[in-house]
Amino acid sequence: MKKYILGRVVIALVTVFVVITLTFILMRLIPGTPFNTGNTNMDPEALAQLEANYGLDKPILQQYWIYLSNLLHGNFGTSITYTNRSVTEIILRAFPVSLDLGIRAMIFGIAAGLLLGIEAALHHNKFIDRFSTLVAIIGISVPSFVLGTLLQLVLGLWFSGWIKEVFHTDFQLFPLARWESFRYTILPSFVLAMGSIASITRMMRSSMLDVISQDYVKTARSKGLSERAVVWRHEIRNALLPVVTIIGRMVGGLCTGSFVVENLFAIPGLGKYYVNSVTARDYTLTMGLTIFYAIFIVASTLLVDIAYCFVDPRISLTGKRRNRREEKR
Amino acid sequence: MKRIVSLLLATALLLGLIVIPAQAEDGYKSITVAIPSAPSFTIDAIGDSNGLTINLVREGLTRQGQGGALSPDGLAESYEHNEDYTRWTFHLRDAHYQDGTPVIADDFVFAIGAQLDGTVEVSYPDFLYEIKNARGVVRGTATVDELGVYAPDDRTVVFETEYPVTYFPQLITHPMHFGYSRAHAEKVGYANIGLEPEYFISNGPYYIDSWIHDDKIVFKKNPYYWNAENIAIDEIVVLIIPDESTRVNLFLNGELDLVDFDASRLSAINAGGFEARTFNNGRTTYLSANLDRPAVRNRKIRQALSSALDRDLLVAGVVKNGSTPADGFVPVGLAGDDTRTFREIVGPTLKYPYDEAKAQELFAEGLAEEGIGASDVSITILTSNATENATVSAAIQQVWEETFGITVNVEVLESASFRTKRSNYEYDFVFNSWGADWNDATNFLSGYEQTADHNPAQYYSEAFNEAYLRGVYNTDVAARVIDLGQAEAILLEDAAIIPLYYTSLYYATSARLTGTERRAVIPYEDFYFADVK
Repeated sequence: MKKYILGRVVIALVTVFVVITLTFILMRLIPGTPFNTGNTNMDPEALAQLEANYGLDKPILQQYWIYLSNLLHGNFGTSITYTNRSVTEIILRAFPVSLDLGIRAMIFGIAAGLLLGIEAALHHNKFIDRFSTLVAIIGISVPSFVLGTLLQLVLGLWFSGWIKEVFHTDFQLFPLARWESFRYTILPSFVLAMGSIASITRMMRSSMLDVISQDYVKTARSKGLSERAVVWRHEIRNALLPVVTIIGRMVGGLCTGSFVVENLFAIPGLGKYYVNSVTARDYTLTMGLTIFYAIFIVASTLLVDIAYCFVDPRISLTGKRRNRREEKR
Repeated sequence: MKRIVSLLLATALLLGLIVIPAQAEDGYKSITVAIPSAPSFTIDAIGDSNGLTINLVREGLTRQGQGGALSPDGLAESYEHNEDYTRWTFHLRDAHYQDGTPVIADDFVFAIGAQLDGTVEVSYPDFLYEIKNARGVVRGTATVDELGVYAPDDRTVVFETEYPVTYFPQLITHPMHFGYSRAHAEKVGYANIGLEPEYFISNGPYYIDSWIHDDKIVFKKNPYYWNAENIAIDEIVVLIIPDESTRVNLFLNGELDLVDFDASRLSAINAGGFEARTFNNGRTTYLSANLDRPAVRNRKIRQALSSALDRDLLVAGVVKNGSTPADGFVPVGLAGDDTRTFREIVGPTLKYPYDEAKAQELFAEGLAEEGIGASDVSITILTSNATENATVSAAIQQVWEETFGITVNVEVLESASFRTKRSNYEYDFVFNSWGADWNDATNFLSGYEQTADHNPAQYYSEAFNEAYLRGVYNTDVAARVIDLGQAEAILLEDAAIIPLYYTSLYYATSARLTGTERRAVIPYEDFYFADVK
């Protein structure tokens, strides 16, 4: 186990290094500079001084080495667009908000997705099954900015207006935007979760249908176990496994910030920095964010893999041992 | 199921009881507005998001007043100039920062010097180049002690300029000319100025009370501000809302007191029962020609291309945001002499307005001069991917192709790539717009002078230089406008640029907000004269 984790950590470090190098090269290959943002060209002398401030006047290879050695000292550098703000400061400030939103969306997505998927499988081809298909189609095909704008209009604007008219209060159950109390989190969490709800529903449904027709389920039934015990202990538990895999993959996507949802609901998270730093050619910020994202993804994949062997004892971490066990079987 | 529903309703009700907003104290006036992205409070803070916030917390020697005139308010109580307008002396009021320390003349010497000698990072030091030796300090050929800003005593600031600047009091309403306390800057460290509320001191009508990054900034009335008794609003909450549709919805929901919006939201604003207002934001949209390119280098062809464009139709049918057809380059609303605007004095200078017959005639002559046929002409219009720019470029493409039977390509690029191509002159025409940074025509014309660092059209004309420099060095305020008008006419006779329209912005305010002020220069809301009912 220890050896396995150590091996994975080494692979993870290599992955991150490759990501750093590739991002560095790719960013410099895009035309454009972080400066010269106004409507006219800068004074060339002033431009040269700015470039020197950020070390951009040095040969590219030297810049790369300087960046790597700074990184080894834990220094992500300062952002170019957000003058004098360190990349670490920006990530530390904005990431917790994105993580908060992501966790809410995860909880929401998993709960709703599992419930819908299970219900759909248990009532195969009934109303709830068709309904789950509808939800899945909407969740997959309607982009979040459309869904978000629609919910803002219907629940944030019209519903609040109706409440105001009827109850004469400024209270809003679904505020339009911003990130203050629990009420404010409902709409963005839902919009962010919609995609996950859809995929978890579909996955859980098909996995349940698969399990339901298995022999051991029939055996359990014929043994005279109660319906509840069959569903809970035999069907759901076994159907969950493939779903755990896709949930693991969702963590990275949901918890590191969504540009569209955060932009629409004015949430001070990390999402907008990914997009804005690239359009602004903010090299240091883009590098910092990419490295952060890479580490997050690599770490969460690792954790999911480790968690896996606890959920399903049949799966072992190293391929070798599994083969041996299969031979035994 | 019923139990769940009732439980949910009960929870909602309970939440409602907890979060019912506290009633505002009697007479405490608070307004809420929104801006699209985080502002900056560094010494050189200019730029798109700062126009609204910077004037709340920093004050210059002079201040823009109502209706385009200068206000008698500002940190200078009085000022005078020498005969040829190259030496300006300002006498400071008894004014203070939010911590009670006095505003002194050295604040200006420090802040302007720091932006030129590299003490703080600056992108556009050019804004200060009218000051004597400013360019030299940036280039390292002069020291900051030789800079034309002096403080003979704590209450007197003296500026010396490279050339006569008759509009100097207007020019220094631009925030790069504002002062900042040297002592405070040294205390917090130059690189930290303005990063957090505790790293910034205000000498303006408001101070930064709290700042949640990327979310909201609360400005409160500065009790130490010299004119605090005439500032009506006690608190200005500035939300950072990146998405325009969200801003408009928040406004319609009564959560914002002011919103800027584009033409597509007009019906929503009207349907909400609000009055959509429009104002000229001192910006001209134009095509800039690359004079080195085949076909486009021919003056008659450029004149023909200009004559082919029906600007009335363009504004009414494509732009549709209250913009007006351009009849010159310097936009309406920019100051001329003390009583009239530049455009009122000079009149229209667009030499080649819409005239299809003339366009055909000029085009034929131009082709003959170049010895080419219409089918040999292929023109690329470079534009950024902003919706308006791309749409208008496409309309122009269609008109030119249909009128002359030539090939026109529109190259739409995201902004950073667009700027790179523009600075490398990789275009025949580039779709540009230029907004006023200070209230004078030189702001628009200076770029075409022979010695300019950045001449966007690579335009060199003896006649233009002569007229322009005559205007710059003319200290007769009325006569210099005529000179500058002649320079503008020469530029447009050469059709080095093809003006399209003077842009406008839509905005709306809540019913309770009064006395708002929008102007052509730094076209952001100014709450100095505002009040709430």
